Amino acid sequence: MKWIRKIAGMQSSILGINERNLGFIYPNNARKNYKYADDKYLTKNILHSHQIACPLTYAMIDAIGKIEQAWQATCEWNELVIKPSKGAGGKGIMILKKKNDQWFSQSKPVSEQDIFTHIANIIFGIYSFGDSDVALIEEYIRPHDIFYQIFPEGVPDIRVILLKGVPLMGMLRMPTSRSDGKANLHQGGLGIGIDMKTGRLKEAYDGEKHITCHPDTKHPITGLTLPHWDEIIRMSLKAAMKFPLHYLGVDLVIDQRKGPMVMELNVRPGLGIQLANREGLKDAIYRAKQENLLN
Amino acid sequence: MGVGSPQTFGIYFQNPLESMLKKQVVWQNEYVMKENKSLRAIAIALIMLPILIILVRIHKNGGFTALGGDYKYIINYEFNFQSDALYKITTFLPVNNRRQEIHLHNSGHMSAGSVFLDGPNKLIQWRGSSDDANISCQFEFRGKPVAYLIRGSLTYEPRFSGDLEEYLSATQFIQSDDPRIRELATELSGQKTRLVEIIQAFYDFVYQIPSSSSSEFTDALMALDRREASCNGKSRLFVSLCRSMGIPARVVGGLILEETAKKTSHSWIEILIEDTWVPFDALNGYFASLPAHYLELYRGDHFLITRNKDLMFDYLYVIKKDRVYDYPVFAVLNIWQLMDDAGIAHDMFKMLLLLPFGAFLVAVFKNVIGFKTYGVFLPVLISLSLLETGLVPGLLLFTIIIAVVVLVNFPLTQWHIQYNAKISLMLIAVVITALLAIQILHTTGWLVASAPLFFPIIILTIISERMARKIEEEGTRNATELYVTTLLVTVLIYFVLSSEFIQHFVLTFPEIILTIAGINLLLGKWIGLRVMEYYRFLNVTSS
Repeated sequence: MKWIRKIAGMQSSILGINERNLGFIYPNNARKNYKYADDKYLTKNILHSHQIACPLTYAMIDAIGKIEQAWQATCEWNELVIKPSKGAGGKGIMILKKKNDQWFSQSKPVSEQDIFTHIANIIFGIYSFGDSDVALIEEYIRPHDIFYQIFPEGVPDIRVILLKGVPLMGMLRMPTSRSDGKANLHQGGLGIGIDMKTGRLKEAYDGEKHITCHPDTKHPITGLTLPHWDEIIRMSLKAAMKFPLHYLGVDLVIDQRKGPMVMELNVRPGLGIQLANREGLKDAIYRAKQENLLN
Repeated sequence: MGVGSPQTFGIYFQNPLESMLKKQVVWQNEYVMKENKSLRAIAIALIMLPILIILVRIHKNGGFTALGGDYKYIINYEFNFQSDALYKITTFLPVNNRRQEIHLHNSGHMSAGSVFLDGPNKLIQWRGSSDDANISCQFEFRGKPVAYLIRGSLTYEPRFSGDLEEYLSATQFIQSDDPRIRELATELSGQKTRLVEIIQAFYDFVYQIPSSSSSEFTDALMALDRREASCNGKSRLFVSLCRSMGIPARVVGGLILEETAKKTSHSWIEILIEDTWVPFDALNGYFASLPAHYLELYRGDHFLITRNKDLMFDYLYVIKKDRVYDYPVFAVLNIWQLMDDAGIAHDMFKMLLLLPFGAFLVAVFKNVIGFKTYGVFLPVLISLSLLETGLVPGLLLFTIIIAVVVLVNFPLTQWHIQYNAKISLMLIAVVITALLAIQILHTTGWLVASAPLFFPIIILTIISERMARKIEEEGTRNATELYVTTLLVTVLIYFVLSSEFIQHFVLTFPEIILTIAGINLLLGKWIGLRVMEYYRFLNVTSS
């Protein structure tokens, strides 16, 4: 009996992949509009045109022959990020830092040849399901101090899921030593639930259990309040309004100097956010309906 | 905690787009609802229609019987003779029993003979006077294989019942009272107390007697003396051994059916175990079993044809093998017939029809249970190719080749080899491994490595590419996990698809794929939690 109640409870509150796809993604996002989220170059153009802050693009490379020229133009910067425009799940992202005219990627020295190979791989489509792609060279985001104190590596980001312009749930993703600088949950990062009203951090989920401190630094997480939270929600809403995507995840970062920026959009936001928040998305939707935010 | 206050979400509520957006949302919801209604009707029609057709076909074809392009045989007795005076020729006609189904063809010649019963047997006799004549007699046979399991707990006890007298006593050719037979039987049975062990000992002894190529007459003692025997000698010896120990047994005679014209008949034996006559053929190695193509003509120690001696006589059994078309009435598409008429290989149709069935199973594993696999088609294609290679050799080959790809991937990534060139290099590694495997399999003779292996190798290169990419993107561990779940799903599908019943069912009732299409439509609209999601999200509501 206890188990039957448990299963029935899960059915009524948790959003599974099948229902997410059929009930939310397909009816709310026309297939032809996926490109506005899947192609980061397109996303950024639209964000720019609506004055929604996002990392600066130093260069866009769409052909092997243009690599060298574009690279020369970006050499004035000492920190930058190379990413595939259509990559998913943080794949193919290379973070480069220059020290004494030598480039380093995750504290390993890399030659210009290595960088060119990586850009060529991006253009060939290795990170975008075989479609040809373009490589973006972008401004490096220096995470806000609050993140630096918790764990000094990688770039944490904030995911806000919105349905028809209503923010349903939010999650902070933190890298760990296990996740190799990446913040994705399935790569060993932490998912930390966020109180949507206040921006206060809830417990962190490490893939197996809920914890209150960062596993590497033991720095407490639960109870901290995210800076610029109102701004983050405002930016998510604005992004949700400007794109023809009515169920989407907005990924934001908080730069130390520039504040919140929209990194990318996701039409198929993962369901792990429910674990991070210890709450089912269907419960969140139900509550939004009760408050007349959704109809 | 609330989702938000109007204060926080002020932007949203002031936005002039709001009403427009709401309209669109409402319209979309209505559209989805409407689509669902017609979709459900179509799905149910797709599911029910083929089932109805199948039920009608089963009904119109006389009920549900065997499946699977069984064979039937048309047997023709052809007797030619010359006679100066009267002739009298008697032979057996088969009767229906649990193993065989007989249809007599009432040809003109046949009605000339008179049919009568003698105990369990049915005979036909032709008499008359003619210089030169030929008689033919035709019937149709459909058989089933049988196999019995003899209970090990059954203890040996000699039976002396009067009813069984006929099956326990010695005869002229079955000399079960001869001291040598008795001695041999006692020696073979030794201290054994269980019936099955004693029968096994007799069977083994008779089985290892070299078989003579001729089918000349041999009685039980001759078979024992010569250490060489044809089927009838072996049968008589086997029966005599049983009878000498008080185990009821009898000789059975008939024909082994194959597409040919022949003179050779065959005999085997039956032993009464509890209340069942269980067949044994100690020449061809069937212990308590018989295959489908054994035609039983008579029970008891008889000769198949008896005739007056002064006849110049020749005979031939002409046997034709034909496929039995299952459920031919109302068959929209009779695949068995199509295969025979167009000369298309059985395997091609089998693969064609199993493909959607397998893809459906993958969809169930993924959407209902929540397994992750490399694509939808790969597990189906791999399991179909396993049908050709066999489960263990196929899986071994797959794993070796995947391992090679994983090993090759490491240095290639280290050297920053560009992607397209890398894939090409991996394919070369796959082909070399496959060639080596074929060479090894060929020289060791473990497996006939030929055409069937080619198909899996193409699939291997596909899965290798996917695997290599996965390693690149998510690391070896994730890629290997995905490989293992893919294999798991593959093996599960293999067990379903390798079922002969399912293979024959889809070939006989190909319309069933419409039912699968209908179920797929419903599955594609199913929004329930996947089984594995219950596990994944267990923590969400635990507090």
